[in-house]
Amino acid sequence: MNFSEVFKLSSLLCKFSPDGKYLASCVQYRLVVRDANTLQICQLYTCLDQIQHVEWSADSLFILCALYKRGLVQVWSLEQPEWHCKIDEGSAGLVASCWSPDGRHILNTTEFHLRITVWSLCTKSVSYIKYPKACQQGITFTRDGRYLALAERRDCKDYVSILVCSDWQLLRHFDTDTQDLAGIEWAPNGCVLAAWDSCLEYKILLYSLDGRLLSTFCAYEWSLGIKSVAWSPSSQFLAVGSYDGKVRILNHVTWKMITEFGHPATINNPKIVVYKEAEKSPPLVLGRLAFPPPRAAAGPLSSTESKYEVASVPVSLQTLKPAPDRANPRIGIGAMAFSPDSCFLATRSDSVPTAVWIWDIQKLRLLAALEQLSAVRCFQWDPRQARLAICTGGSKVYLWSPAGCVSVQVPGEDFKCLYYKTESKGSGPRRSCEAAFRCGQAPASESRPC
Amino acid sequence: MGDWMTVTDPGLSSESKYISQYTSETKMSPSSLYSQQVLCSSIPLSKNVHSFFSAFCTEENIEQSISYLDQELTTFGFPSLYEESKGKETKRELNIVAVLNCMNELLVLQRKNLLAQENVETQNLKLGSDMDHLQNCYAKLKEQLETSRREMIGLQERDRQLQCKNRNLHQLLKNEKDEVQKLQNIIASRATQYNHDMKRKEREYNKLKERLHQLVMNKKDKKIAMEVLNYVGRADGKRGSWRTGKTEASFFLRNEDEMYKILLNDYEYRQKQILMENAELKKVLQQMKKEMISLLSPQKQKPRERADDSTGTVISDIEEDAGELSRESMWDLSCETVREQLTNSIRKQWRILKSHVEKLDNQVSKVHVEGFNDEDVISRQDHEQETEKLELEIQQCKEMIKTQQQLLQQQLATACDDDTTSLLRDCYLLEEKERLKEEWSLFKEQKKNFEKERRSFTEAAIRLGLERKAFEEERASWLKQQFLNMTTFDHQNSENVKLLSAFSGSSDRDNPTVHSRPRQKKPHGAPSGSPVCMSKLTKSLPASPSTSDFCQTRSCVSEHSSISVLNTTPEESKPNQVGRECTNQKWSVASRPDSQEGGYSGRSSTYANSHVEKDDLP
Repeated sequence: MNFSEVFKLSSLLCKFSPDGKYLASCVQYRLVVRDANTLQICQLYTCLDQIQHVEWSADSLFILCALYKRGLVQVWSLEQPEWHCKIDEGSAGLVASCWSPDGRHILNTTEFHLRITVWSLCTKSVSYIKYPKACQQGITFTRDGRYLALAERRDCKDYVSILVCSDWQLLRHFDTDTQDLAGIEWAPNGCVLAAWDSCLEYKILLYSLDGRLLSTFCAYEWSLGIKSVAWSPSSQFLAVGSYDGKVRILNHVTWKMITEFGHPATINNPKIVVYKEAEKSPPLVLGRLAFPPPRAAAGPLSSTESKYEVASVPVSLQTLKPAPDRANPRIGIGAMAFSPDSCFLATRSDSVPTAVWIWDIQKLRLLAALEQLSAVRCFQWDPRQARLAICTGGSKVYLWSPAGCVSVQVPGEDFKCLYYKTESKGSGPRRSCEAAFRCGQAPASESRPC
Repeated sequence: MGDWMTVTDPGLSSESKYISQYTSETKMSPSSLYSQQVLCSSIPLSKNVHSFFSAFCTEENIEQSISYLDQELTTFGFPSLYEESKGKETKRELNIVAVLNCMNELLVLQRKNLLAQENVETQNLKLGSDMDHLQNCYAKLKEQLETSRREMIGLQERDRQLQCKNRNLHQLLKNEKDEVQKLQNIIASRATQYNHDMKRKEREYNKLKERLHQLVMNKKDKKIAMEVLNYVGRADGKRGSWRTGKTEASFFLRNEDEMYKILLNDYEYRQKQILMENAELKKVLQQMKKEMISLLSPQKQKPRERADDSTGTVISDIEEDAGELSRESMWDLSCETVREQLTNSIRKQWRILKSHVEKLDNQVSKVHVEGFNDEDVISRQDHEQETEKLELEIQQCKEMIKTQQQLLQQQLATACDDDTTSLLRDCYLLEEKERLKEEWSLFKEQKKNFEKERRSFTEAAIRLGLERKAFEEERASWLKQQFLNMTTFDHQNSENVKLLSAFSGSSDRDNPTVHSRPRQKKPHGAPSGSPVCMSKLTKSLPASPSTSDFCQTRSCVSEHSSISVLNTTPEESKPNQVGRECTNQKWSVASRPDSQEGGYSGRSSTYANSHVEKDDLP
């Protein structure tokens, strides 16, 4: 794995273009676009104020910069540097901004979720969508970009509107049988919409594109419910992570539960490989014969090196005791991600923050568990292969693949990996780029493993 | 028995009492004494009886004794000793017959009594022991009873405690259940309350929102605007279409159409997949069935012979199915009847197969049990041997691994982080490889040079040898001449001898014919003994198994030679060619200890390493 030099960055704003050719990063009010291969600066745009959100359009031609404090959105074109567009939401304010999948419309959510304004870059037309619901995940587009599902709240009831993205016409509008809808998500094939209730109730509803209720699933009652939901890329499985520390996998035929993955604090099965990150003491000089002498200087030296050790079962993982009197307890499955081939599922239980569980979906069992020295911040799969990257906020990036585990020291002083991004839509040879960022006004660095 | 005993016991005692009383009344107690004496000893009875009787009855008191006895006997119910008196006045006469009869009766009685007494004694003893035994038993049983009573009390206590506990637990459970119920009620009420509150709040919130919306949106906010340099084209190249009332409906219809198309496509795709899966499963099923039939058909004869009704019918079914199987097209029909038939037939066959396998299993287990023991012994021996062998092998492998590890560690003494270095190792190896290649070529050149030099040396040596030979011959001829001269001229003899001694110090003067051989050897052996070693080496060169080793040592030598030349050891300063050659050989021998000494150890080990690695390269 190679690492580039360190780039400056503010508020973790750094994104690869969808085609993988460019990299946009923000430094205060400036937007810097670099070539992803050479890392040379291609364009430099100056916005009116500090940028708070950046998003590439799906065709990688435009970049949207949201300045929430001012209620402004500025759009830049990569092809025509002199082209500019500024959208002012005025006194209504702005809390969220995103592209429509066609890359020609911008959806702005006003403050208090009064409405969503759809601005077109092609025509002067402006559309408004009223009553959007302020929730965890209220807007979702199908993967082909044809439909938009939107969570709404009217008269104390939850509704879902399905709109056609080409002309923003309402296709279906139906109420959902939820107390307080928390999120909606399209299946990757764009035919099934999953809607789940807030954490107070375990309830997940599955709707067809035409608004028919396909199924409801409720695992238990009277306890905190769903915390995270993930579709497998094949649309075959729906993983539902809940506050009871379990992941339940539903199938796409009967929408019934196939299996339940518990996250016990002790692992007893000797078939499961448990990788334990271990800090390494400085190496001892073993022999008098130092051969070859120049090698020591070339190796990356750092104060603490770490490596993985395969722990022998039974292994007990470090668990946090949740504070019962505080909101948002640190329990339940906080993050889940399917590998691109739908063969593996990575999960993190918030009560065991240092561990990542990797499940084999083909065999429906636990395959491996990784225990880090510090809490896992995020993990992401390589879009091309079964390889998982994990960030813990330290100066290392951890990679897991079915073959094994490595911890990679990111060069640079006082560097913290908070993010890890991969992008691999580029044509030609396989290329995936990882970016790791230091928090605050700190440099960023990208790397390209070959 | 005890009862009987207790009943008889007092009877006996009372009888004896009665007797004793009776005798005591007489205040003489002769019978008791007598009986005692009889009890004590029966053998000297006759004497005693005599003396006793004499004591009881003397000459003087015959009458009295007779009357006494008569009285006594009559009270016991014996007939009177006296004859029936005819008159009161007349003295009663002693009836001898009656006396004798009485005596006899008494004796018989006595014997009977003795016997009875004996019996009673033994019975008494027996009963006494019985009594003891029973008493023991009784004590034991009493003890047992006591312990069991205690145990029972303990158990009862425990039972009571457990029951108490159980009651408590029941109470607790009930309480908990109540609690749960209460809590659930609370939760439910709270939930409803919360929902209610939420609804209220939300309504308020909505009102406020509405208000805000009106305020913000209705006021013609000039600020809400979009500034664009120029509008861009649509991604699909189409022009943006304006919506009008007329087209709206058609738009909607089109959208609906598209949506249904997508859904339909999805369903079709899924159906296709399911069909494919089904087809595959059917294929597997079919194959399984075929295999089952083929597997079961050789056994068909046996069950039929047995005429087992259940299997017989099943077999016939199989045959039918086999007939059906030929119609492959049947499999494409997915109607329910076919499915039923299929599942039924498969189930039947499966049952047969299962029973068959079970039977086989039983047989196998039987066979296994039978032939287990002797096999086991043999296998154990083999096993042990094998394990020993394997352990040895493992040991060897471990050692090998250890040495390899040591080597590796030496090589990578500095770089320890395997994770990071593993990424960098490749480039290191490449670098090193290149470096080593260069060194290798250098060494090759040097080796070539040395080879050349050596060849020239050997040539020179050969030349020298030839020259020597020529010289020897010349000398021999000269000596011969001298000898001839000596035979002719005696006075020249002494000079000749001196010459000889000067040339060959200890050689045989007396037989010059033998002389020629050592002389020929001399040029090789004489100078310092090292040429021998050289010749040996040169001889061994072609015979040595690995020339590369030699090259290695030679190249090492070459390096050392250059160093040691700078050091100017006395060995090297020999001017003549042979001398140089031999010193060279000496180095080659010396180089090994030298490299181990550590003076040049770093370098030498590098070269050794380089050679080792080089050998792998081509």
